[in-house]
Amino acid sequence: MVMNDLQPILSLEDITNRFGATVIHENLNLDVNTGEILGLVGGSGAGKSVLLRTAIGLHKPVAGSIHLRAKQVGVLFQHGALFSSMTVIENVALPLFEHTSLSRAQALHLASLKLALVGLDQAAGARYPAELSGGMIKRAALARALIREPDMLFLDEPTAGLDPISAAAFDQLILTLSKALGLTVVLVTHDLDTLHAICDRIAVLSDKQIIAIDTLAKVAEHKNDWIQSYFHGPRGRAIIDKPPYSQHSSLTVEN
Amino acid sequence: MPDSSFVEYDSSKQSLQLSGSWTFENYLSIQKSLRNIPADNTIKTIDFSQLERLDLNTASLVAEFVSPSTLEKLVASTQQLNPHHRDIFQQLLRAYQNQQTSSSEAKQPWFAFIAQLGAWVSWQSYQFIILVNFIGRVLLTTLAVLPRPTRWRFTSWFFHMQQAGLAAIPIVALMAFLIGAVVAFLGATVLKDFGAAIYTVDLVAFGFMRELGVLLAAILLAGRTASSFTAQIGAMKVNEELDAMRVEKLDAVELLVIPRILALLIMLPLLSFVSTLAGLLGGAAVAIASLDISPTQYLSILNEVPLRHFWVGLSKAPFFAVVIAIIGCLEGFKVTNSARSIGEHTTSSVVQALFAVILLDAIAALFFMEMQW
Repeated sequence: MVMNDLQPILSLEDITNRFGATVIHENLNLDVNTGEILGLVGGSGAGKSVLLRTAIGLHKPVAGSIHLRAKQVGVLFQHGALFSSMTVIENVALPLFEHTSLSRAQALHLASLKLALVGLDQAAGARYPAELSGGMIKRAALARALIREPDMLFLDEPTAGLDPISAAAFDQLILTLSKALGLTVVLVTHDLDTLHAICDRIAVLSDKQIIAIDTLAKVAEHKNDWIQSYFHGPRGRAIIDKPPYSQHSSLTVEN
Repeated sequence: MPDSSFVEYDSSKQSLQLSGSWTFENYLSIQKSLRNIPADNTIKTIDFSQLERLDLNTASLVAEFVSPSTLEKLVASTQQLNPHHRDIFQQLLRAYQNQQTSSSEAKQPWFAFIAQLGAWVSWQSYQFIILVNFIGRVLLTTLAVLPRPTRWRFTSWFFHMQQAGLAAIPIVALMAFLIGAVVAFLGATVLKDFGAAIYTVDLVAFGFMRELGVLLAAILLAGRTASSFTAQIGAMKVNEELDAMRVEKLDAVELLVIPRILALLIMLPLLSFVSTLAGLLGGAAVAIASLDISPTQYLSILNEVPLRHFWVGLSKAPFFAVVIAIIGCLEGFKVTNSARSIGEHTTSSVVQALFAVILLDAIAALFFMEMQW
């Protein structure tokens, strides 16, 4: 059991992805440790989403191997990817209908609990995805990703399009669930606040490779130009200079 | 073996002991063990110390067994609860609170269908008003645009002429050829008994010139082009492109609808002509191959058919074109913000366009008959 925990839950080895003549990833290596929250950052078009899809198995790499040791995986797609012909609660309960021997009533009951957990009420559950706001779609999609109690979650831009308050609440929800349930989380994000607040490690995707993977503080000190401008540009600086939420109290005590 | 029983009840202490791995794979077994415990009792304490793993789904089983409010007290009072498990219970209890504050919808009374019928009627009348309104807008915009050639959208117009017209020629021609052959066979079968097999040629000629040529082309366009107009405009609506146009003070009717209507207006008569020719050719193939009518004979019979029948048939094409284009575009504008809605409106646009074409054709047939044209 202990040995198992030390082994990375997901390892990508020498991954190469190519679309036509465009090389997206070249001999890319990435290990994700069990129980951590890993933030994946990179410029627009650097291939973050493609890497995520490769890890999940939705995209077959040209070369390289993927070892995924998670028993159950949950995915939150960038735009939610809720099935538009079903109500929200049916969307959440669908994996239970299809893959478990739970009765329909039981499945719907568990789904409504999951919806309540992510902050959606029953009225929202009875609606169709097209009738929900962007934030509600994200929450419903998270509920669907969580319904079968995965041990690993992949989140593609979980807080994109949310207001800062909802985004912070969403971050906090992911953090609490991940720590309570021992979930491993890989998230693609451009939200520096998310990186700062909940990520244990940051992986930087640039020049077709993971050029740095470490804690935020250490990655931010990396000499690479892109990393410097990302974390020390006008938007990045405000985040780097302030302590993360979780360490807030301990730091004030020290002062 | 901790897996054999997940929960034990000690009736003397009124205490539950949870043990083992409370994961989702064991959900049904845990539920079963909980059902074996007599329900009519009050739980004073829960011993969580033997609990190895817990997740939200299984935690909800405990919560519903002792009721969420009791669980809240028990979790607060216990000391030997793993902090991770405490977090799970707290998340879950918060979820129960969220659930309680939301209200469920009221049940509908038995006479609700009367209200539904009313709603349907008012919805349909509203749709009719939208249609009339849309036709009015299209007419006004057309009148405004026609005298100003600088505002004609040639690129878009020619693009749609190619898409809806040129690209449809092979399928229209093939369909009309086959129908022409079928009509000729049908005529031959019936007319042979009267020794009037020669009139098969007249049947095909009159049929295709007056009715079938234009009708077949219009039906194909209703299926092929109305649906594509709806899907194109609907996809733009979903992508908020129509809103962007409004913000930029661009008129969607002028940019999207008029080029499409004009394209069909030009192309449907041409396609009708192609379709008529192909139908006559199909009839000729059958007549020559199996009715022993020579090509010259066929052409000379054809030559005796008054040309006005052809003009009567072709005069319907512009009307069909406008109706098909307007229905296709309007259904596109009616799409709401989801992919599902595009599918629904595409279906509806094809059904409406087909229905409208056939209805118009029937009215026209009556009219032309009364006028003795």
